[in-house]
Amino acid sequence: MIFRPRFLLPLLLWSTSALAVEIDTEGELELEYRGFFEAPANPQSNRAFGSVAALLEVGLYDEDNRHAVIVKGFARGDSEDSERAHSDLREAKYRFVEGDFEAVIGLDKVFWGVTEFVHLVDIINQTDAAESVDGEQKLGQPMIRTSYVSPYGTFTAIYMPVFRDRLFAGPKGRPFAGFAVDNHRSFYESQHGDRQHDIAFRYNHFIGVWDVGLSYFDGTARDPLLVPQNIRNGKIVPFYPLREQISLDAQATLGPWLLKLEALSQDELGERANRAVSGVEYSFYGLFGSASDLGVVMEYMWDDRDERSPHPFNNDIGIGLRWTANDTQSTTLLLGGIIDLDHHTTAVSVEAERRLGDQFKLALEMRFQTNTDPLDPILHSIRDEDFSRLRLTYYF
Amino acid sequence: MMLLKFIPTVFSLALLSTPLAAVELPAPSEPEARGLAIAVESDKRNIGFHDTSSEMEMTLTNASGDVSVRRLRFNTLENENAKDGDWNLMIFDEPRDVAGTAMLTYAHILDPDEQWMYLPALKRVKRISSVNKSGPFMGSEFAYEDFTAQEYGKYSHLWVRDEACGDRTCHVAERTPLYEHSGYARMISWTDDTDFQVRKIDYYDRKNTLLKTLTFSDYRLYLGKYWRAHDLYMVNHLTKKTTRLSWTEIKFQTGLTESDFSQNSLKRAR
Repeated sequence: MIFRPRFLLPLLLWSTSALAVEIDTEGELELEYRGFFEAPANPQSNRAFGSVAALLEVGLYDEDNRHAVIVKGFARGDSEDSERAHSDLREAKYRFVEGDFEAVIGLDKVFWGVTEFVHLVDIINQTDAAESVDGEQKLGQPMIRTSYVSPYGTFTAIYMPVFRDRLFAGPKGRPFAGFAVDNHRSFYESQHGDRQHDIAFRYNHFIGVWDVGLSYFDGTARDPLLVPQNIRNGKIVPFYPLREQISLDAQATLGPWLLKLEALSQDELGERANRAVSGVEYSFYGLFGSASDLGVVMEYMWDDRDERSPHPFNNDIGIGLRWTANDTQSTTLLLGGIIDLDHHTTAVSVEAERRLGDQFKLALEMRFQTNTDPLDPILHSIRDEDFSRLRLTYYF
Repeated sequence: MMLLKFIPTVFSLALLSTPLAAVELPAPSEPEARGLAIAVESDKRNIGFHDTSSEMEMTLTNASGDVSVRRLRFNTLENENAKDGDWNLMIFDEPRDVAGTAMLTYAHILDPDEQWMYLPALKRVKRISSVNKSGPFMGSEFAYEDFTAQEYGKYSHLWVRDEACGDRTCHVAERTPLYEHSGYARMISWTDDTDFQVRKIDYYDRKNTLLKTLTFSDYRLYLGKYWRAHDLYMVNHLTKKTTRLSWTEIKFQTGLTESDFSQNSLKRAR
């Protein structure tokens, strides 16, 4: 699954031959330590993981930002998990803008949605699951994208010629769910394998307090089905079904209140399923007369397949607190919990961040499960995988 | 072509031909009318700028003298509708961990602004609440409300006195915020009587204690009629912290249009 952006070369030549080309370089270097509280299920694995990562972005822009070539590469090395050690072109794209029209060709990342605990409608990019467990890290997606901003809203069309498999941590990686996933082989429902031509359309607009998006997707689902029948050489070979999906995301911004909804209806393997997440976010500004703010988020996650849904968020409540000090060093503290209303399994995360000096940032994260119910198979499988993660990042 | 559209009133045309013509203000016996007229005149001096593109350095100093620096860029588009606020796109360059973060604001006079934040790592555009007027901007001594345009319709005005300020004479007036969620009970502003530019503002917190003083200096004239202060110095009297804003570059009429102030352009901001 190697995508070679051959079209980039002539564009690069074109860019450098033009007179007023601005080159922007930025990046970050990260040192990471992860410590697991329990001994590993796999005796070859470990409790402590050390890792380094680098992100480098180079952009070439013409004077009025109409033409741009942007390449953003990511690489990680890991002391224990050879499959978490990986590299990926997050972006490698040419972008053209003419007034209200924009076209992008190459690898890029697109985000859709409004909620915090899960990103239901966000379907364009594959998740880099080796990178983090929160699903926020994404692999670069090959695409041709056009969008047009009209007074009646923004219209976007995306054509994706190549599907990207989800990247999982290896057998020595943690958190370990009791099985390893084959990162080199996959089954696809599509007869074209990973060359299924996916398409997506989106309309989004804002009217007064409302921000609304309507999306359509037809292609290979980003979430694989991991079924024990597909074990080959001790690893589960992921199966990617085809999916057709329509979705809605909406946010009402009412003073300190944000009301949010993401809902979708999907057709996969002949079965229609409906999912939704909805909730509120409220911000207390200038907490107790100080400069700090406190945001409170509460979201309910629902799936009409209940226990048969292939993901854990079918009848769950997420509660989050975000404290922002608003100090010079941008100190923030994030506390989150997701409670399964059927089994009462609770997943908790604590994240703290602070800038050191002008170019460093220190981030501490802890994730653990409590009240794990054996009937809750997904979270039960990682009940002994609680960990803390410390990152020091240098930005340049 | 574009420009002509934005010089709409006969009054401002008259102003162009005789920029130093004395301004008729209501008499001191009518302090409200006089205060409002000063603010209206100050506002009029800025009509027709159309758009600006500027770069700024922000230096934060705490009571023990520790310094940290931020760099930002602003694109502003004048609203054709003078009864509404301007459009603004703000891009963060430093500190480096927030580089690429951008904020789009459609400002209004008394209604809440519409505001979107772009988070580059997630490629996410997030509509944010604009209630947070009084919170510190990037950890500085400036509140969000100190940054937004100071349209006269946002305040009630009361002329207090005229007095010398440097080598000029200033109209001293009291402003009381009419919009919701302000952190201030009132402000006292010093506006000079020739160019009608604000030279100094004292901010009084909700308990009516003198909280901060902002001094405007290094005024430069653009296109022969638009004044911009290049140095804004804020002192917090309670914490003894200071913030200096230095505009390193201000460009007028660079050809920005509404297309440059959409959520799509927020994602492209650089």
